[in-house]
Amino acid sequence: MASKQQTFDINQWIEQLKKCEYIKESEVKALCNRAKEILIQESNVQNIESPVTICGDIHGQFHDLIELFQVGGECPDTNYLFMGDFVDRGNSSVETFLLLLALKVRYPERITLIRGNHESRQITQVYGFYDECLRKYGSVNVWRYCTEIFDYLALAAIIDNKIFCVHGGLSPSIQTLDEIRAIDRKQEVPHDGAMCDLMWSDPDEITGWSVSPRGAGYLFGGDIVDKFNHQNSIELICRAHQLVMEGYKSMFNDTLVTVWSAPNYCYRCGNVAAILELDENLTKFYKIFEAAPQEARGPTGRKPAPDYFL
Amino acid sequence: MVDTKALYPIAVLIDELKSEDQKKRYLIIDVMHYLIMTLELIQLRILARQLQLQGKRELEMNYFLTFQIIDYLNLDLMDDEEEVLLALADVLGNFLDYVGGPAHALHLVKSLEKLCQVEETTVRDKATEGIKRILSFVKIKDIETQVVDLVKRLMNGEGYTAKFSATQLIPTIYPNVSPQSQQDLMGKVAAIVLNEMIKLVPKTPEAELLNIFGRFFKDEQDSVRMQGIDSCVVFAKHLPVSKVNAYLLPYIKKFAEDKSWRIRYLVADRIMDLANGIGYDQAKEHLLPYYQGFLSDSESEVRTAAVSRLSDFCKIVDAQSTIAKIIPALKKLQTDQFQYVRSALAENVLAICPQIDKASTNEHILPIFLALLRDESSDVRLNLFKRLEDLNKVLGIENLSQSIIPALTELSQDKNWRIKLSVVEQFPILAKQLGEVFFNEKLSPICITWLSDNIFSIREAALNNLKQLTEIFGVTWATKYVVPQLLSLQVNSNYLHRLTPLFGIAQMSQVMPSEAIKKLFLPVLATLSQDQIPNIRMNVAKSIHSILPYAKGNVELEDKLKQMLRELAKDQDQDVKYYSARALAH
Repeated sequence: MASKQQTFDINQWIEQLKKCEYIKESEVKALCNRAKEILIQESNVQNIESPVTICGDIHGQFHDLIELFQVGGECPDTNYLFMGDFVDRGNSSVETFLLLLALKVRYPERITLIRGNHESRQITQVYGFYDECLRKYGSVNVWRYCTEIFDYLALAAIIDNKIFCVHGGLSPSIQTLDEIRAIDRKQEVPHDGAMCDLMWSDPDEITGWSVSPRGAGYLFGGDIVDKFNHQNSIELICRAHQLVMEGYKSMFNDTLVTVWSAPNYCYRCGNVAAILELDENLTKFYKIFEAAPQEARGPTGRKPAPDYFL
Repeated sequence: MVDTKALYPIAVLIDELKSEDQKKRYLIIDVMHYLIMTLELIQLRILARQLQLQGKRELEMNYFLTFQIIDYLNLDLMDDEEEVLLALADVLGNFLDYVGGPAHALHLVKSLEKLCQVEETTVRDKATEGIKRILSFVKIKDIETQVVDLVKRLMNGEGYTAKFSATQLIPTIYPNVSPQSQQDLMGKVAAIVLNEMIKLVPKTPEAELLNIFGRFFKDEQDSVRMQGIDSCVVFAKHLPVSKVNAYLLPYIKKFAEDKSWRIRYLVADRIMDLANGIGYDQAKEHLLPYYQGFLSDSESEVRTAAVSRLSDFCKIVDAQSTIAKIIPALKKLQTDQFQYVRSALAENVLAICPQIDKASTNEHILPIFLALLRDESSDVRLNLFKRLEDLNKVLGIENLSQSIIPALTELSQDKNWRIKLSVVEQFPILAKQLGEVFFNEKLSPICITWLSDNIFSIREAALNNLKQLTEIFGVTWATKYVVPQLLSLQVNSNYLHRLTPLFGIAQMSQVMPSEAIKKLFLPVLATLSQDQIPNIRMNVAKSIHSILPYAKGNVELEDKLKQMLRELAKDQDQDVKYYSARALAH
C-alpha cells in the first residue's frame, strides 16, 4: 500500500541499538536494503586510509563492544575496521551486528566491516545467531535479511596499501591481491577454495602450507607470509579468528599480527581483548581491555542463555 | 438473532486465539484493548442499528461480547505458555472499563482466580496484582461474601501456589470487611503478608499480629525467620517504643544470636532500623554487644554488613564506647582476608573521625587509614578517598599530603581503566576539600597527564574534570594552569589526541567568557579546520556547533565561527559536510 511508507530514522536506530534494544523487523529490512547499496560498491579488498582502529572477533558480546568503544572512542570520531565474526556464541549477536551495520550505513567512510567465517548461513545455524533471531523476533526473517547482507561484505581490506587485513589468513590459491579482487564474493562462504581460506586459515610456526585442524582453510608458515608480503608490497598482515589470551599476538618478526576483541570469550575464557590503533603515520598502539563489569551490563534477561558453548 | 456478519470480527479473533502460532496468540491478547474499542465504535453501531438498540443496551451488547471472549480465554488458554498467560493476567487486571465497570468486577476476578493458581510466579503475581487493582475500584463490602470465599477457596486449593496468592490478597480485603470475616481472614495470615498487615495497624489488631509473628519465629526455615526480621522492622515503625521493647527486644536478641549467618546478616544490615524502633538508649545498651560481635563474625558477609552501618551506628553510641568497643574490631578488619570486607571498611572507617576527638583520630584511625592506603587492592585504596573529607576535617591536609599523594599517583596510573576512571571522578571533590594551592602543586599535573591517556573514557572524564575544576577555581586559574596544556595537544601526531582539545573546547566554552573563547580557542579551531584528517575537521564543526550558543552577543566571534563552518561545509568528506551544515542550520 502506498500509505505504508517505511520511515528511515537511522540515528534513532543507532541510539536504540546502543542501548541493546533491538529494532523492529521492518526496520531491519530497511536497514539491510540500504546497507546492501553501500556494500555492493566496496571492493573485495576494500581500500582504507589511515588513521583507523582495527578490531577482531566480537561474537555477539554486545556489552564488550560498548566497552571497546569506551576504550577506543566513539564512531564516527574514531575510524574503525572490524575484521568479521560479529555474530554467534555471545548473547546479543542481533544487537551487535545491527549496531555495526547501522553505523556502517550512517557513516560509511568511518567504519569498515569485512566478513568472517561466522558470517555464514551454515555456521550461524549451529552457533547461535539463527536461534537468537528466532527467539527475539519469533521468525527467521531477520536472520534471512542479515545473512543476505553477509554475502555483500568485503573479504579483506588494505590500509594505505601497506597493511593487509583479513579475518583468517592466506590461501594457497592466492598469490596477489588482484586474485582476491577477482573473486565473485556474492555467495555463501564455500567449503573450500580461495574465499573459504581467507576466512578460515591460521598462521603457524611451520614452513609452507599444512592441513588445518579446523577442517577448512590451511595453516601457513612465516615463509608464506614473507613471500606474500614481498610480492604485494605489504608490511603487515593483520587478522583475527583465533583466541589470544593477551588480546593480540605478533608473529614472524612482526609481519603478521592477530587481534582478538572479545574479552572473556564465551563469558568464561578469562582472556583480555585488544584493539590496534593505527594513527595517520601508521604508528601502532595496542589497547588492551577486559570484559564490561556486571553493573555495565544492565539487567540480565530472564531466560538463561542457550547452550552454544563448546 | 444477531447478524452473523456483524460477529465476523469476533470469529476471526477467536480463530486467531486458537492459532498454533504462540506469537500470534500473544499478539492478539496484546491488542485486545484496541479490538474491544474497535467493536465499540464500528461493530456495535452496526449491531445496534440492526437490532434497533440504543444507549445502554448497546453497551451491554459490547460487554456481552467481551464476556464471550473472556470466557473463551478462561476455557482454552489456561495451559498456554508463560508469556501468553502473563499478557492475559495483565489485560484482565486492566479490563474493568470494558466489561461495564465495578458492577461486573466479579466476572473478571473469576478469570483471574484461575491465573492465581498457575505454577509460574510471574503470572500469579500479575494476577493477584490485577485482582487487587480491580478491588480498589469496587466497594468490597458489597461483595464481601464472594471475596472472602475467594480467599478461602484459594486457601483450600491444591498445592502451595493458590495459598500463596490467597495470602497476598488478605491485606487488601481485611480492612474492608465485617469483624466476622476479619476473624476468618486473620487465621490465614502467613509470614509473607504479615508485614503488609502490620502496616495497617490500628485497623488490624496488633496483639494478634504479634501472636502470629511469635509463631513464625519458631519456624525451622531460614527464609521464614528472615521474614521475621523484616516484620520486626515494620513493627518497630508502627508500634510505640515501649511496646517494641516489651514484645520485640527478646526476639531481636534471639535473631542476633541465630545460628544461621543469613539471619545475623540481616540483623546487622537492618541494625539502624531496629535501633530506631527500640530507641537509642536501649540500642546502646542491648545492640552494641551484638554489633561488636558482627564486626568479628565468622561469616564475611556479616562483617561487611556491620561495617557498612558503621558511621550511623557510631552516632548513637558515645565516643568512649566507640573507641573501647568498636575500634579494636576495626583494627582486625584492616587485614581481613576478604577484599570486599576491607573495601567496606575503607569506605566507612573515616566517617567516625568527626565523632571522636583529634587525638583519638590520630591514635586509632590514622594507622588504619595508612594501612589501607597500602592495600594490595586498588578498589580498597580508592574507597578511602570517598570519605577523605571526614579525616581531612579532623587532621588537616598538611598532615595527610605526604601519605596521600603517592597513593593517588599510583591509583591514577592503575592498569584497570575503570579504577582510573573512579579516581578521575574523585578529583573535583578532592579539589574542593584540599584547596587551590595544594591542588596546583600536587594534583594538577595528574589531571594534565590524563588528558593524554590512551583510554578514550579517561580522556573524556578528564575533560569533564577541567570544566568542573574551572567552576571551582575560576577562569583565571584555568587559563593559567590547564588551558595551555589542553590546547598544546593540537600538534599531537595522533589524530585521536588532536580530538582532545576539540572536545575540551566544547566543554570549556560553557564556563569561559566569550572573549576568552575568541582569544584562546578560535586560533586552535582555525588551525584544526585545515587538518589532513577528516575526523578532526568534522569535530571542528561539532565543537563550533556546541560553542555557538555561548558566542551569542559577541558578533565578531560568531561571525568567525560561522565563516569557518561555511568553509567546512564545502569539504570533500560527507561527514564533515553534514556536521557543518547541521551547525549552520542551528
